[in-house]
Amino acid sequence: MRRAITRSCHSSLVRLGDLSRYRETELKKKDRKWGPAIGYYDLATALNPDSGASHNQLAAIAIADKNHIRIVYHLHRALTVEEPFPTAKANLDSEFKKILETWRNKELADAEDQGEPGKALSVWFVYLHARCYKGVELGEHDELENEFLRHLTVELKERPLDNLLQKVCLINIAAEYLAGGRAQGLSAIALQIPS
Amino acid sequence: MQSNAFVSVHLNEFWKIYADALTLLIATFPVLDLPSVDYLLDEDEDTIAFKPLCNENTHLRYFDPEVMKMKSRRGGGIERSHPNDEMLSRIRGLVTDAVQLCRDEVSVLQSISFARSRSC
Repeated sequence: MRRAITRSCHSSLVRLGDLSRYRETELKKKDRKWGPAIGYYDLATALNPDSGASHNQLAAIAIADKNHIRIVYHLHRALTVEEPFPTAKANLDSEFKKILETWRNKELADAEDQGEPGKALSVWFVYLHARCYKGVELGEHDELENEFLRHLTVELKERPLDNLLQKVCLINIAAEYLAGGRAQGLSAIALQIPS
Repeated sequence: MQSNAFVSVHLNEFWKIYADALTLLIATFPVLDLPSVDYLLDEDEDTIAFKPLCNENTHLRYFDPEVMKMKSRRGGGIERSHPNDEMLSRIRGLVTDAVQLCRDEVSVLQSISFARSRSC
């Protein structure tokens, strides 16, 4: 009974977050205020941290903001829980494809974001992960990694990167965990590779 | 992973850097007197149920062994320690983790530590 009530409350909180999110995406094109939606999703996570639903929905908010590192972070978090969100794997596949495509079109970093703290670091980081994601050996792996580390060194000397650095670490840990699972041939929904 | 020569070179380099960092921490801070906090730190609360960190080596970050319950979350009337004390407790956690790794029979840290003690 307790578990059923918890699940019901969790589901309700996620839906309330969805309604708040729809209100912002449908009614506004800019200056969106995600506070209420994020609040509901965070409450849902606090109630049932084993569910990946909240993180998947937070990724949807990040998609609306076109913030690639937040998208990648939340989708990885949606996958590395006891109850991974069913479509999170497909969403992550899609996001990495988008990253590679926008990189090819040189659109990954908007012109107005060039001076934004941590932006260049985020761009190189998500691009490196997108290239590594398929699990195929990468000729320019060292070059990409060194470029990211160069940006990290510069940024760390100039400012604290608490929030961004935590996301970077957790994405790395999650990606290694998922890759290890694929290597071991696990067949959970979160680890199926599309053909 | 150890069988991959490319990865093993980087891994060995990582362990050396890790050992150096821990040595510096121990030399800088009074390890035995470092405080601990009995509630979840921000980064711990953010990683509850994060599967890569759910194992027997990390569960003490989240659980209070004396009462066998999850540590209290921030807010809800919990009085937080000074940020400096929280940072010191993080250092205590880093040192504790390193000691645990050294106890691991196959830990590379043991071989680094042994090699350094012979060179002293």
